[in-house]
Amino acid sequence: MATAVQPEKILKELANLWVDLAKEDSAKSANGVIRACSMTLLIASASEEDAESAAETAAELLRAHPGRAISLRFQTSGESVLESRVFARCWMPYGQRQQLCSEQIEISASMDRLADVYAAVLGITVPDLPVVLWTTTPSLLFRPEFAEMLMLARTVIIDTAKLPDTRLALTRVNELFQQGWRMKDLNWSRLTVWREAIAHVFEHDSWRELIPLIDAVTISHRGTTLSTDVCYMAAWLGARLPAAKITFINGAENVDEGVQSVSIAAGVRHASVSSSESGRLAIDVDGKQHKVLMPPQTEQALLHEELSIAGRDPIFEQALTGAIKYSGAPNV
Amino acid sequence: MPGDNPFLDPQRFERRIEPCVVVIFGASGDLAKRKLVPALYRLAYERRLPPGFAILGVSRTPLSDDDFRAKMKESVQKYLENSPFDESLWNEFARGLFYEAGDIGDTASFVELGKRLDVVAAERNTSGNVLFYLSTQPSQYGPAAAGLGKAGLAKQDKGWRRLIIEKPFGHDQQSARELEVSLHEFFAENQLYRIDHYLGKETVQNILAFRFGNPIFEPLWNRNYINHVQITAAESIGVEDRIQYYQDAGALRDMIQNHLLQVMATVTMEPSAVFEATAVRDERAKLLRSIRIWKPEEVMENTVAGQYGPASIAGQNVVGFRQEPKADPKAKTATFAAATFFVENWRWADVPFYIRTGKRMPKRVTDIAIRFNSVPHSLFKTMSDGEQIETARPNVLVLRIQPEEGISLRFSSKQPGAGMTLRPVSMDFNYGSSFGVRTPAAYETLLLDAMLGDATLYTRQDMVEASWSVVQPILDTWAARADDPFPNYDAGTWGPKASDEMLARRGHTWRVP
Repeated sequence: MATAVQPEKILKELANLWVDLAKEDSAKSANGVIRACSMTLLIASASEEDAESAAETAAELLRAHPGRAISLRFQTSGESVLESRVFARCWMPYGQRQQLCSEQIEISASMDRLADVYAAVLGITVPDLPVVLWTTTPSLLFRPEFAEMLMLARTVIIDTAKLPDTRLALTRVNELFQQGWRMKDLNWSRLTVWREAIAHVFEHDSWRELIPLIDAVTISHRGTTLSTDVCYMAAWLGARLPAAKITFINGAENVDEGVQSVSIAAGVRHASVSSSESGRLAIDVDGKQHKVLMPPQTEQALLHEELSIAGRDPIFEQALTGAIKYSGAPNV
Repeated sequence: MPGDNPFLDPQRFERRIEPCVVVIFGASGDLAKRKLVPALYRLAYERRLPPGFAILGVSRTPLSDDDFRAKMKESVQKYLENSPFDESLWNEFARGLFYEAGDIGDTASFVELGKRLDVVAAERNTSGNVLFYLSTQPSQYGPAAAGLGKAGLAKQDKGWRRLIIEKPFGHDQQSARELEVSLHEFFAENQLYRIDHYLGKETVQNILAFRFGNPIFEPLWNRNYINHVQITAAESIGVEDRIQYYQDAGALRDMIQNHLLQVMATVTMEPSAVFEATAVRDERAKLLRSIRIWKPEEVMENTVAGQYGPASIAGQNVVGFRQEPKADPKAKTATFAAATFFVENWRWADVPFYIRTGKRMPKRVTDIAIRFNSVPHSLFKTMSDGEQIETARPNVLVLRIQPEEGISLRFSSKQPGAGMTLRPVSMDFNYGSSFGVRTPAAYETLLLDAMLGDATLYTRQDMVEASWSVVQPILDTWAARADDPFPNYDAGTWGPKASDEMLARRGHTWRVP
């Protein structure tokens, strides 16, 4: 069932939707709805499961980052399809009297209709505001026919944790970065709490004085190969600790994937950050231990962090270009 | 000295705090229980406190560390806003809570405090940095600063030492200067942090973002386009349990001398070259010094004092100020104050700034309304009763500080249908619901800033003095009145009639917020 998706029609449906919402709301509370918009968020998914979960995440995300969400559901097999629907997600913020609504457009298409999708989306992005593409199925980035979709956005968000081959993932993200896209990786955002804890250690003058003398860094992680977050962590630390030899070791099997602990040593001085009991990080500096709450690492929280950075992210860019050299590094 | 921390990521990490101890004098008081310790716990929840962090509570009541921890736990559970209480995080936080019984009037207490600070610093690895918070009666500020100074606790040889005090900074111009002398005997100005919690409010800070981050408004932000400005800070409640303080202070000292003049300065100051404490505060101070000081004979024309009398509000009888429990039945306290100010500089010459504040008003609201000039030539008129009525209304930009923080712009729009009748519509930005995330409480922001050594949102002595210079002649003239005009407004109204007349003299009317 192949039909046309016309931008004008979608925009008209959107306008009607807002009129209906305003009518409904004024009947209830006489306070009207608030239409907020700070961006267009394109959500590209190639599986029904990804698309469903992304729609829920986007609904939550739009509370803090109001905008027009355009969900692109690509069907990689089956008949030729191109259809759309328009709807709004509204909620009443706690303690407020007015509804807050964000508009959502859903476009379902088979891969052979990508050119039509591109044309349709081009006509319905919000003028003068940033366009962000979140590929919930990151393998889409490797499909040549998807390249045109990338042209719609300046910023591309992926989660390389979903990709099985670390080297391939980092190579592709680096390629896109070199070609001018502003790349964001949720597997980098997962490291924020770790990096923040490590930065805390170096708030002490005595530890900052040690920087040129730090000769050993050990990153414990799960798995026989290094995941992208481990490579990012190594690149980030390596760029700041010029004399340090970075070693990777296999950590416990019964915990989540990724970084499990980071130890830093300079002679007898030692500091470490490690995941502790449920949702906590233990920070040990010269034998004094301190624990902090890990913030939630849901997809929504990670996206929120990435969307909060409006411009370039030089620290990630440096880690991204440095990470690839660690992608084949062995464990000790 | 080692260089900057290369591990920081300012786009993602919150601003860093160096290891430190926060010493709270008056630790068993209301402010510590309701605001300070919950704010510090919340900062711990947000992972903004460093591992080397401790709170040392000081007050006269003898308590053990564990008693203090138990009391503070109860307070945090009760007064924590918009956040969950996490038991295990509390246990971690409570390990850094300590208590020392002491009396500000007793020199020996400060010696003991010094010893205890050394022990806490060693145990918590706090690097000798100490933030003293005087959550005490203002009369204790001088003695506390002297006690700390004489015990050597103000010296910055082992780490930084900072002192926070809360308003009021003096009862009048003279006492403000005396306070300055006693504080400066042992603390340098850059060690002093004078809290004006209004400046810590997210929306007051947003005024700076709005003005200096959006260049389209800057060309309009002057006497050529702005007709007048109204600042309203109204409370629907009475004096509650603040009668002792409020009866002496009154609305002018309580609100205008500090909060509202600071807000006015934020709205009217020139942009600073950089967003740094000294530069921003220099501009604020410059503006405060530019406010015209009324001569005694001009005061009554340009200011209004009011006191609420009894009334029935929504079927409930409300007592007048003089009938409030513990109030003096002949009290001359102004529970309402309104004033017209002018800023004597090129940007604002002849633009009236009307400020009003009061208790027992129709609702709780704080906002700033900037009224632009009317259209220079009227095109849109409608006939009514044989008369041509102008339908284009002046634009009004409202910066709402509380309760629903935001910005709205009133402009004229064509009414649907035949003819060309205009009607005002409002374009609304609601801060809370546009960004559906929690905004930090003022005390979180201000405590964080003090620990970071960022005094941008704190007032400085020259600003305090400039504000007193503006307010003192008004206080003196009001105090010299022989008659007793009070009460002169009913509880639940927008203040005395004289307040409307003050605006009417310049052809203006108060808006209804």
